[in-house]
Amino acid sequence: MNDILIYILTEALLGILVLWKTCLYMVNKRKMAVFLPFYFVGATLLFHAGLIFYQAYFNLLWLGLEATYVLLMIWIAKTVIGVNYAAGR
Amino acid sequence: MVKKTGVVQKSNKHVSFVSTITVVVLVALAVAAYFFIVTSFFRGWQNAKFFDDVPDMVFLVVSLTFLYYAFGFKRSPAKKWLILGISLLVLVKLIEIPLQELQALTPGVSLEVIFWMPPIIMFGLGFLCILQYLGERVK
Repeated sequence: MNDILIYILTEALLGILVLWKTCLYMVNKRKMAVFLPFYFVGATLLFHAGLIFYQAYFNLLWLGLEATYVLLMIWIAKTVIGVNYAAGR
Repeated sequence: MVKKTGVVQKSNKHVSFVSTITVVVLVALAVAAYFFIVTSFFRGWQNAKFFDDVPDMVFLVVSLTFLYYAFGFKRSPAKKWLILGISLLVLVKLIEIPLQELQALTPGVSLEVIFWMPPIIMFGLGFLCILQYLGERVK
């Protein structure tokens, strides 16, 4: 049980780190849309940790979580490519 | 684009020799081949954990396509963060597929948590690296 708690705490810590850094960038750079996907990444990491804590390994819930990661990755890719295009103009 | 100083700035569009669809198809073929090779070391592809493996493979396809485009971006000091971040995410999913198959070898018994710690740490760090890239790139 202790091992799984360490795993959950690690994941939660990473989720909080992503959220915290995203919020800092959002405030400092004043560009919300660019950093918005990472806000959801942090939230999803925390949600993932919560699912493991409650041992909620329901198939559809798990599939939804994986699908969320895929959609977030597509969103991040589109954002990064957009930022690169915009930087040269 | 002509700036006020008169210096002609080159377009930032990256050069892609093949279309996105071609990249996605080639990457998907490579990922499918990886899946068949990995599962052949365990219980064969017929008995693979499709429910866990298929989302991982889709994530791999997206990440590898993103990695292909990332290499074409304009050279900048922050680019290393992007390449590192995506590479970490790709590595996580490459590791997770054999781990899930290993876990499926003995039904009802899950792997030690120590096996799952490196992937989740790399997963979080991967997103943090991409975030660092965006933070340095966005003015």
